[in-house]
Amino acid sequence: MQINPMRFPPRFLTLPYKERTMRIHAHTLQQRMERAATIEITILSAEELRRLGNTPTFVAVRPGVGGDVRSSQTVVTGIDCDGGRYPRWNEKMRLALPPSSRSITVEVCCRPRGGGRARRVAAAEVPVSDFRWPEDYLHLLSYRLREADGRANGIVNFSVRVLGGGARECNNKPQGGFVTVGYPVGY
Amino acid sequence: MGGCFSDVKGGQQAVGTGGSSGLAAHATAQQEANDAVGYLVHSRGLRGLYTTLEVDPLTLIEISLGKRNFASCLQLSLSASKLRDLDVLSKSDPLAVLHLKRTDGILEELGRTEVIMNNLSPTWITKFTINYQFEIVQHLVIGVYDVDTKYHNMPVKTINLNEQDYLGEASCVLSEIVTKPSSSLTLTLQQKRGPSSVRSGTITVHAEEPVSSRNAFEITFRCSKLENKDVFSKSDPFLRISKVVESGITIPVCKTEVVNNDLNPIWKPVTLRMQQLGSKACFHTRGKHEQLGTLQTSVADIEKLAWERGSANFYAHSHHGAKKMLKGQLFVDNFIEKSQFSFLDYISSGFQLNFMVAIDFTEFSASSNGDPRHTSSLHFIDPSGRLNSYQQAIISVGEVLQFYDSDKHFPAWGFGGRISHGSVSHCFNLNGSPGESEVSGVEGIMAAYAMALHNVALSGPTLFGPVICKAAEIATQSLSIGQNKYYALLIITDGVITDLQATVDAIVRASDLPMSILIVGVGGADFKEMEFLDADNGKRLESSTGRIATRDIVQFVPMRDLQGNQVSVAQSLLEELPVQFLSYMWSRDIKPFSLRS
Repeated sequence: MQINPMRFPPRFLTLPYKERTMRIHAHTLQQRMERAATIEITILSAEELRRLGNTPTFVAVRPGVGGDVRSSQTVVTGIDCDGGRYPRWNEKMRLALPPSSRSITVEVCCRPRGGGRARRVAAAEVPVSDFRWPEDYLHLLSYRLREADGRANGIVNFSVRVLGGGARECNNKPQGGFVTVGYPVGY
Repeated sequence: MGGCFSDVKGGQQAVGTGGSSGLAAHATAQQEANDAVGYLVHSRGLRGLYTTLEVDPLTLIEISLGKRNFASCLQLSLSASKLRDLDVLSKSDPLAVLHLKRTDGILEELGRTEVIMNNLSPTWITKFTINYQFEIVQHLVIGVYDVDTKYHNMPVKTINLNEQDYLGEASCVLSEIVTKPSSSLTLTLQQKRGPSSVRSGTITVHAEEPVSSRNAFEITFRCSKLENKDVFSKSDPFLRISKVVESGITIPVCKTEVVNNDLNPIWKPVTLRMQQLGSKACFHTRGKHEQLGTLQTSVADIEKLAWERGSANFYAHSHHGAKKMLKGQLFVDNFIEKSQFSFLDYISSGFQLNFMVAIDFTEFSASSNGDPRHTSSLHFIDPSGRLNSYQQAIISVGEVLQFYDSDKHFPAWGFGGRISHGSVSHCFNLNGSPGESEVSGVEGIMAAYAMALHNVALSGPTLFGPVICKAAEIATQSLSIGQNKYYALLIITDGVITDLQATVDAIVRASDLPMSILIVGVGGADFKEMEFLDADNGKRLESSTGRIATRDIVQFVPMRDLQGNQVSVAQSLLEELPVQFLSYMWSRDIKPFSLRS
C-alpha cells in the first residue's frame, strides 16, 4: 500500500504511537472506500415464489463472487409476514461495492413461523454492468430467482442507484464481515 | 357528459362536443389505460405510487389483455387580438367557431363562442371540450366572424354564419397546442378570400386539462359484522371495487388484499383514480369465492362516510333480484384526495418524445422484399406516387410523433443490407453518411429511404439486436443530460427474425431506459415472434441471463390486419405509447418541470 506523503508529513513519526496507528487505519479505510462504489438498493417485492405457503420472508444482498471478502458486507431487509408467495419489502439499503465485484447476489430467505433457522429460498446473481452506468440513475430491475440446484423459483423486483458524488457517505458505516440489519418501514 | 366528470366537481361549462358516446368510450378507455399502468407499477411493487390491484395475481393477466387507448379530456379557450374592424360606427362584434377537420377533409363544427360586443381583442368565456387523442393528428380550424347587430338576441347556435362578416380563420394541430409551454398557441388569422396581405389579427388557443382528470383518492376501508362463511374458522374477506357503466354492467376497478380469518377486517389503503370511477362505485365484500355482500354508492357518499364516521350496510342479492339488507357494514377510516401527473403535464412542461426509425433491408423471399425495382417487391417505389408499406408506416407514425420532438431531427437506420463495400450491415445510417444518422423531418426519412434503396443491396439475415442496442445507447446518453426525453424506435420489418434471443436480451435491457419500440410487420410473413416480443399476453420477457423486463415496451402491429380497416397503423401502434411513457415517469418519480422544487 502506498502512503500518501502529503497526509503523512515528516513530523508524523514524532507523533505518539496510538495517534499514528489511528491515522494509518483511517487512511487505509478511506483508500478502500474511494475505490469502492456505494449503491443504494431498494428491494421492492418478489413474485410467484413456489413451495413457500405463508412463511415470512426477507431478502439479503451482498457483493457477489469475486468480491473482497474483508470489506464485503451483507445487508438484509425486514421480514414480510403476510405476503406469502407475493412478499413486498419496499426497503431502501446501502451497500459498499468493492471494485473487484462483478456482481451482487440477491437472496430471498424465509424464517419458518414456528421458529428455527432462516433458510435460503432462491437467489439471483446480478451483474454490476446491468446498473453501473449512468451514475445516479435509478435502475428498475427484475431477475429470475433460482434455487441452489438451478430450478427457477419466482422473480425479485428491486431498484438500484449507484451513488455518484456522495459515495463517501458510507465511510462511517461498519466494515468487515458482519451483518447490518435493516428495519422495515411503514409497519 | 360523463367523460368529464363534471357532475362531481361541477361548474364546468362544456359546449358542443362531438357527442356524448365518444366521451363515454373515452372514460372506459382511460380506465383501462390506468389499469395498465397500475399493473406495471404493481408488478414491481411500488405500492406507494399507485395501487389499484392487490393480492390476486390472476387479475394481472386479465388486465393486460385489454386493448388500451389513450385519450384525455381537454378544454380549449380562445382569445384574439387586433381583429379587423368591419363596423362603421363601432368596433366589430366577434364570434369564433371551432371546427375539427376529419380525415376525409370534412369540417365538423365543435361549437361556437358567445358574441362579444364592440371589441377587437376579445377573450371568449365559452370553453370547448375536446377529446385529445395522442395517436391521431387532430386538425383544428377556427373561424372568426363579425356578427351583425340584428342577430344579437339570437342563440349563437342558430346564427347563419354565411350572413355574417368574415374576419378570418386559422388552423393548427391539437398536438401543437399541448406541446407549447403553458399549452398556448398563437396563430395569425388568414383570409380565405381576398388578398392575404390584409392584416387580420391573431388568435390564441389555450388548452387546459380539467383538474378532476388528475384526481385520485386514497381510501382506507374497514368492515364490521361480516357474515361467517367458513365452517371451522372465520371468513377471509377482501373488497372488490367496481364501477357501474351506463348499461348497468359493473367493471372491476380494484381489489383490496385478503384479510385472513377476520369478520371485522381493516384493509390497507387503496388508490382510486377519478377516471376509473366516474361517479358511481359498487362495492362487493367477498370471502374466498363467496360473496358476503354488495353495496352501490358514489365517491361523494364515500367521502361523506369518512367525514361523518358513518357506516353503510351491505346487501345480498337473491336469484330473483330481491335485495336483502345484511348486518355487515362498511366504514371509511381515511379519505385523502391526491393528484397524479398526466401525460399532458409532462408534454407541456418540456418533455419530448423522440422518434427513431429502422428499416428492414433483408431479402426474405421472392414474394416478400425481393428486388426493389420489381413491382412485386414490398420495397417497390411506385413512380405514380402510391406509397409502399414502408413509406406508409413512416409517414403515419412520423406525422403524429413529429410534434413531440422539438428539433425534428430523427435518427434513421437500415438493417440487413449489403452496403457499398460489400459487407452486410445490421445497423447502417440510412442517409449514407458514415457518422451522422440523423435526418431532418419526416421528409428527410423518406428521402434517405429512397436513396438507400439505390445504394444498398437487400441481403440478410434479419437481426434486431444491433438496431435496438444503438437506440438504447442514444437513450442512455440522453440520461446524462437530463431526464426529459423519451424515445420511440419504429422498426419496419418483413418478419422472421433470426436473433430472437439477442433481441429479447436487448429489449429487456431497454426496458430500464426511457424508450419504447414500435414494430410494424409488412408482407405476409409469420409474425409469431413479434407477438411474443409484444408482451401483451401478460408474460414478461426474460433474457438469457435471467434478467426480466420491468415493463412492456414493445408494441407490434401487422400491416395486413389494417388494410381496408378504419384504424390506421399509427393509431394501433401509438395507442400504448403514452401509457408506457407514464409508467416510466411514475415508477421513477420523475416530475414535470413546472412542478419541481
